[in-house]
Amino acid sequence: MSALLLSTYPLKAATIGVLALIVANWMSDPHNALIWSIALITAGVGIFVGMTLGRCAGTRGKTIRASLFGAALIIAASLALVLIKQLGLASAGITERANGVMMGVVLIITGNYLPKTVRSLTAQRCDPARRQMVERLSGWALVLAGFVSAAASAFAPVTMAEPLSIGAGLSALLVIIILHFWLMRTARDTQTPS
Amino acid sequence: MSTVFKALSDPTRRRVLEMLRRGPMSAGDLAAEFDVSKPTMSAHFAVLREADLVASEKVGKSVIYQLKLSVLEDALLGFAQAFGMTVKSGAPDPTPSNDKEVSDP
Repeated sequence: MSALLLSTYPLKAATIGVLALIVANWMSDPHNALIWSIALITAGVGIFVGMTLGRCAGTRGKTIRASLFGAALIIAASLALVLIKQLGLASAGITERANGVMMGVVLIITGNYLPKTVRSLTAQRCDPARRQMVERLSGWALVLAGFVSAAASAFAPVTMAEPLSIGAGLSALLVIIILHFWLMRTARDTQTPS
Repeated sequence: MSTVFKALSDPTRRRVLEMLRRGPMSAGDLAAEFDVSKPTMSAHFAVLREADLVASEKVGKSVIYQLKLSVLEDALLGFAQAFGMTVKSGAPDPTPSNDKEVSDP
């Protein structure tokens, strides 16, 4: 199952899905033809670059393909929500809530795997213990922001959902920026000869 | 995921992960903290590596271990520490938790 997921087929299927959804959106919303044509060109360029990078062999290629597949799924889900709204299958409030929940889930998944990305100890310029702590706290900040964002989008009143989601995301971003500034500063201090 | 639960079910391995939370450590420094033989400690490290909870790297003559926990695995470790999670059924654990092996003379 995992071998199939890391092959090129899911990525190809997801990119075809993205292209089909852009065309469907264009057809249902012909007044914004310029926007959809730009989206189609951007997607085409992205797919070309992605397919070129995704041909890499070994673990690097698998990682790139998995990341591109994830990105294609997020774009496809957003396009599907826009299409659902265009076709009047769901109200604007529901699609906005679904979009917020999806963004929360993306934050949770990204934050969950952030501390798992280890670097070679010999290649690190800063204290490995501090880097580990910073990545761990950054991961927790993103996961908590994702939970708050998803919960707010799903359950909070419409007027409160967006500010809560944005506030949670920005708070996590601020924590990550402060932690990385601290890490960079300690790295510079340790490199400076006394 | 079962390999993660198996790895977290042993108190020695949980303590190794707790120690690695402070930063990367050499295999020798980690082993020095436990009253176990080298083969037993190596088996514990192998279980942790198999579960993808630690990464090892050879630096000079020593092997350095560093933590490789996702947020979910980190939370599971905290949960296991708090409630003393142990494996009670299924296949026997190849590495005994009451590590009192006697090293070869």
